[in-house]
Amino acid sequence: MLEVNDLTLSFPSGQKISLFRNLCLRFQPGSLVGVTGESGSGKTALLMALGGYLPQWAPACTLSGAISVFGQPVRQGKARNETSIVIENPYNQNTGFKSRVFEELIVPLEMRAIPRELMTASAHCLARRIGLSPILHSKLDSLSGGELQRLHIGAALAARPDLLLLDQILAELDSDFNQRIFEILRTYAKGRNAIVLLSFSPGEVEFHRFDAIVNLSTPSHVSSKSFSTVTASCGKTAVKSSERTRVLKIRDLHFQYSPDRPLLFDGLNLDVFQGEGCLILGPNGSGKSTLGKLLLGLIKPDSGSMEVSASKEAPGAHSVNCSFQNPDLYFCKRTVREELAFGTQRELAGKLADLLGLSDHYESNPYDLPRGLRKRLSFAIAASCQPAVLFLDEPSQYQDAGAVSTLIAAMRLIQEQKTALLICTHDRRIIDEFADFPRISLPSHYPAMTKTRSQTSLKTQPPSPGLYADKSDIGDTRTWFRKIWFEAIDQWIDIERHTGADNFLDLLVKTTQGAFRLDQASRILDIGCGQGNGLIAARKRLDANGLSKVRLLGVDLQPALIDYARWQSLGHTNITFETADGIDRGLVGKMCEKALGGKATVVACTYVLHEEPELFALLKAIAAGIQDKGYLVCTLVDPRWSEALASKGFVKVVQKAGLDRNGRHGAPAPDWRWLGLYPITQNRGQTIYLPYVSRTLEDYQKAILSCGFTILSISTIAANQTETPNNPAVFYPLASSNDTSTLYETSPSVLIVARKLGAISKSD
Amino acid sequence: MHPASRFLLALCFLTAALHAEMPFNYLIVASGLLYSFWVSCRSGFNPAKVFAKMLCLALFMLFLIHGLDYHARAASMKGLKIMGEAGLRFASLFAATLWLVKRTKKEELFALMLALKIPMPVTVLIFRAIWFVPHISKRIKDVLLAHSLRGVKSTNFFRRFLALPAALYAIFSSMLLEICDSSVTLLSKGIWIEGKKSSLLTLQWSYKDFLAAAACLFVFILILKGYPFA
Repeated sequence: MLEVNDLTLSFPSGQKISLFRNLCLRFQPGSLVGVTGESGSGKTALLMALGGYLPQWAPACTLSGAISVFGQPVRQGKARNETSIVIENPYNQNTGFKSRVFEELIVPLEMRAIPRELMTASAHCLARRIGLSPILHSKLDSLSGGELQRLHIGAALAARPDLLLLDQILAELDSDFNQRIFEILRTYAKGRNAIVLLSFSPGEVEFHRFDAIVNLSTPSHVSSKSFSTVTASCGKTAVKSSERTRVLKIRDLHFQYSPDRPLLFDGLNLDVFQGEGCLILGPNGSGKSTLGKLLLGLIKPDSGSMEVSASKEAPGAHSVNCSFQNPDLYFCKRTVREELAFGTQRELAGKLADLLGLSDHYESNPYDLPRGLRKRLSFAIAASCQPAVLFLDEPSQYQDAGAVSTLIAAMRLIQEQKTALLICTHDRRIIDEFADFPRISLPSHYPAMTKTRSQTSLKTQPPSPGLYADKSDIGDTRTWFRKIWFEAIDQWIDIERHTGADNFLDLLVKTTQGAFRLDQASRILDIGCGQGNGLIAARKRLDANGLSKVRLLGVDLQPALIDYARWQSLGHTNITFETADGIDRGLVGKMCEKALGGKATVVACTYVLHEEPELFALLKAIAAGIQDKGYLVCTLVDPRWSEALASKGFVKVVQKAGLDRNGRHGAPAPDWRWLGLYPITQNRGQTIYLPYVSRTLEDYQKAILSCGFTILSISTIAANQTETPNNPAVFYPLASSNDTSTLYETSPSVLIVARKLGAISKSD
Repeated sequence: MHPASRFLLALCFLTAALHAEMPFNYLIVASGLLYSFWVSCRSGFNPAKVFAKMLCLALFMLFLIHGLDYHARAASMKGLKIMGEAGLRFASLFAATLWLVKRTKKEELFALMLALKIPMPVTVLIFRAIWFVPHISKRIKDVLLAHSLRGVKSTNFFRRFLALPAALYAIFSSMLLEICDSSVTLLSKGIWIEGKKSSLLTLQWSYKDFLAAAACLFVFILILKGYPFA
């Protein structure tokens, strides 16, 4: 829980001003909280205070009151390791240790001593979620502001904080990702019981997207009166077509940063006329800011031409001017007044200052202003230079609704001064206001960033939990195995946190050799979180037996481990499991024989979630291996794959039984069914040993009965018992076969012994 | 090649350059400079131009300080000799640093720092110091552009010089903001978390490293024996 009591923050800005007084807040874990308020209302300061970052961010400010996060008091300057923050300026957040996206993404993991394999896994998984996969190996220098911000959001999520603070991140993100980020944050908050605070400008986001809103009132030093008075007086400018003078002509523009980067402009043509403008739209990384750089001559096009006519009103001025995304480059004077008087048309600068609410800050240092005001100031400076073409790169960033209105009014005023506007924006308010402008919609160069799971076909992407990549992107099977394995790792911190297993991951990595299935992530978590804690028990057994290298069948980790534990408990200590790579087709059968000494109890259990040749081959191998012994292969599949399974030579699906267990522990979607059992031979099976997975016991019973078996006994392991080869009492019968309510919570596994009547008569 | 080997080679080069007698030292430094300018860049940022400018500026300043006899209003041979010696030290350091910056990726250096368990504050300082020149040169470019859009032209050296005070104000003021943001971010990313760290990059030794070590050893022995430079 996050608790804030009587928080007062004073910030010296010429005179001492309290940003907020006696603030009291309380948020439950799993909440997504919005923090809103005008520029200068203290949104950033509040987030910094909650994170304990105040001394680093603003050493001069003073704070009183108490903050506690999950019972721990927050001390300023001693930030908790479980808190992460993403600040509003994406350009200042690189660590400087890395030069590429992938490496930068995993810095928080390196600092937390995460094993290498898991870092890689986590980075891939995060990159897919936040749409960074296509640029994962790009240089940091080549990223746009939005892409950089995504990277920093990813890095913050990678650290798996329980308090995640996001300061005005929406300003940099395109509208598509703006929608997705809420889904990502909500899932994260709920899944990890974390608290996520996201600050935003008023009017930027609907309140209903949040569980709670902190609305910071307008402090006395922020004036809003100038907004409303001038807005009304500025209307749209109508320019007669006969008066049109072309100021910008772009013909057949081609540009690409480098051969490994997408072609940003492929024959762009554009005419912009005096006093008119153009909207440049497109997602992050589509090349909007690049167009500005081309216009300013910072980079040269590969081919094509650009002609800009000089400004007639101010011949000394640059014919193209730009309000940069990063406003901090502009200022070179000590006060706002001096800034507005330097190199500008002063009358216009004064008008714009009044309009944009800057006149109250004439004597302030530009760098002391909140970022929203700095952005407005940079706009006012660029506009009052009276260029022929004014390129506005995300002008409404960090602006509240009132400020956006005045900004629009200011743009109209600039239009009246016969300056042509090129406006790059994601902001719907500006797009709607300038609906009369022609638009250039730059396409996304990364299909994966916009493609959702629902849009992809089942053939290329069956619904695996957490798997977002297209199979076509993945390549060969082995790589595919590794990639999906990475997804599972995403949950590792939860496992460690809940189980207290220090070297749990070492165990996983060493034992599985990177081959276990990723869709098992939820069930690995099941084991880790469950009180029975099968994995840890299994690990103890491994340690007790002095086995330093155990290789597991790389299909289904949990049953394999449980089976392994079982076999160990039955006295079979010399079992070797093999990974899925380089399968020996007869291996499973041999393994079973060896494990069980031909005695009769065998199980092979696997999931089949994808139509993956290697997996089917593995299943067949299992089938072939145990055929002679005549037991069961128990599979859990997506219903949509049942026909495919049948066509692969598996015995037909016997029965659909049982829903998933309420989707708990990140289990697959609710429409997944437990399909049933696949008898390999009809007559020879006698005893079924069925590992308990995350389904109800009732489901298993139904499925077993439907196969014509009679259940002889159901046993389970007590949660508090340690299973050893010398402790046969670990299995105890359930009081009733209907007694399943607490089974899942208390025991990691269950043993069902069943017989098939026909088989009895034959074997007898 | 392991980054530690590169540092060893750079150290070997510096030792050889500074211990050798005339004219070998000039020969070594000139070869080193030529090589460091010629060698391809692995690190993604080629600071050769900036380094060349800085070296020229340093040599010019040395000339003004030592090379001119202001009383005689003529060049001083003795002063020129001192200038040559000081310039040699500068140039050897420039050559070694340029070579290291061009050939060592940030990730490699970071992995090396982690492997050597260098404290993170030191690592941060080293990185900031090494990449300060490229960082500041990029920022200067941005600021000069922003200022040129306001009519402050910086088309030639003289105009640039005049534009410098305003540019420096913007550069350092914005860098103060950057420092604040950066320190929050570093804290948030866990840079100051104490204890064990892991590294994505595995630094591996190869035969090249053994060759480099052998070559350095050979050079050090030669230097100790005083052959062939003395």
